[in-house]
Amino acid sequence: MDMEFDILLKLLNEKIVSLRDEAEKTDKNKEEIVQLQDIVRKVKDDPYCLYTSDDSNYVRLLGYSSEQLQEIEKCKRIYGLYVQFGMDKDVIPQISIVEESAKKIEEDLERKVMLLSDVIARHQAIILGCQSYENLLNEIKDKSSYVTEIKALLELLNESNLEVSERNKIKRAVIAKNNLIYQQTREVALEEQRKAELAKKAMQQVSVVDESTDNLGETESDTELEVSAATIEERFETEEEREIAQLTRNLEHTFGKCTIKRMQELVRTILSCENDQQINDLLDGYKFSNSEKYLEMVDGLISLMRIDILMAKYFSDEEMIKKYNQPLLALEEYRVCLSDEQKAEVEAIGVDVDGLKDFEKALQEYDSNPLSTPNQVIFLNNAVGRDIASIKDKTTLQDIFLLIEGFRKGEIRCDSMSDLEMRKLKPNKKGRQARVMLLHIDNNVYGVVCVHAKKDNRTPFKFFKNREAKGFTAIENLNSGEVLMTDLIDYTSQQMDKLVSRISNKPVSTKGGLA
Amino acid sequence: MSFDVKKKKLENDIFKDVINKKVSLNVSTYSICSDLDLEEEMVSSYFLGNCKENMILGLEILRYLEQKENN
Repeated sequence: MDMEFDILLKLLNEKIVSLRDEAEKTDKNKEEIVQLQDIVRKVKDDPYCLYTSDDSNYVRLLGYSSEQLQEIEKCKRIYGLYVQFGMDKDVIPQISIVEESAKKIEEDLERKVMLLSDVIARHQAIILGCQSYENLLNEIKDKSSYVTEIKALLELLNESNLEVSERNKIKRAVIAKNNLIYQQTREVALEEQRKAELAKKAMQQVSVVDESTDNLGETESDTELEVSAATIEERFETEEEREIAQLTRNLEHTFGKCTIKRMQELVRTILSCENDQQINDLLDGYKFSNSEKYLEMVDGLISLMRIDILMAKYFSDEEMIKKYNQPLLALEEYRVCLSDEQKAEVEAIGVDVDGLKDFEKALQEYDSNPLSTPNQVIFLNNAVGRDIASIKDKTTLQDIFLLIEGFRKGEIRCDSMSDLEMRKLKPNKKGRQARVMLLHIDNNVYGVVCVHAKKDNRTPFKFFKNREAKGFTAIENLNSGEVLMTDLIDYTSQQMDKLVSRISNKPVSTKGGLA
Repeated sequence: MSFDVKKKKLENDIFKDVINKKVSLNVSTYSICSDLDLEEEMVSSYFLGNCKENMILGLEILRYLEQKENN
């Protein structure tokens, strides 16, 4: 333990011992004080009780001199006569001596008792104070919580009855100790402490030392405690530290604290995976429909692992680096696969942009004035939606055409215009969501649009290739003989023509996108 | 602690966090799905505890709720 702190401890220990001794002495006198209080009460009730009582204790307790005792004895006799013969006070002139003496004694007693009571109260407070000091000293020995304890100690010192010079002495020792600890944590702190501080530093970017000085500052305005703001800058000394801080900032910007905490736990779970496959399985099964957000989440996990690795490098913790390396590689590989998948999807979305624009334009026209639009757009109602959802196989183009056939033949009821809500289609690929619209173009002529709707209403319809389901399609304006949008990479043009002619009974020219 | 036990524990912790936040913020399942562009069925089945094991989904919802809380 450090010298200054030792001095502080010694000082406090000595103080406690001396205070305790004093308090113990007072404790022994407690009984006497109680008796004295008893006498005072009795004397107040009957001023002459001292002379009628045989209890010599009374007199002894008051510590009268032999002269005073003789006086009292004399008074006692006189008073005894007075009582015995029931004589008038005026008859016995000496009675005045008794009265005077009684009065004197009464005053004397009261003074003494008050004095002693004060002493008792003060010493009881000292005993309590000693206990608090001792508790604090024990707690201060545990350095980890020392900031709070020092603060409490300073408060206690302010409240205590210690002399100013003593108080200042202790305060100075506390402050010196505080500064010393600050120096230590910065320069030669143990690896464990530095690790914790580094993590804290990166996570909160708030100086631990600042906190401690703030705390002390509340009770102590001493300038010795002020730490320059420059130290915060100095905290990021190395490349690793800066990188950690950067990664942490990004993470905190994207995720909330609670989420980060849970993500850290997930990283630990990933670390306990036995092989790469287990990691892939752990994450793969959990893809959800919003792939962008899913990617962000995986990125977050990678960032967390990178931070850990950087920390391990910073402390040259080979074992930790080894432990993290393989899972991180696996996770990064997994991330690359994910972005490849997304890229392929984006490419598929890019198919036949012109057709898409036309379709969007037509839809906007409809939206602005639905009644005047000659072509009716019929939205599938919930019942139809359920039908779609109940198709056990993947919802492919063929399924949708079967549905259209159902409408055409009147097998499936279609509530036109009454249910202006796009039905979300059960995803035909895990994690995908599509909306289906049925376009009623003419009698017995329908177009169907299957769209992957985004949240942003301005670009509501993005067509994408669904590899598993072998294609989505949008067919519109069959009257004009045009298919505005086709995204049927896995369908041949003959197949497409066949399908379209099934509902339109018209030859159809297709434009773009067909394989 | 075995991998499976760790995993289970974490699933439950995340689930608990999500439910607590959702209840305290009084956010509807519908708004979560529409804001996050997630499938309603999937999200409600998470809240019902039927796909609690989807920790990534849980974390995503938690993140959303935390952002909502901070705003």
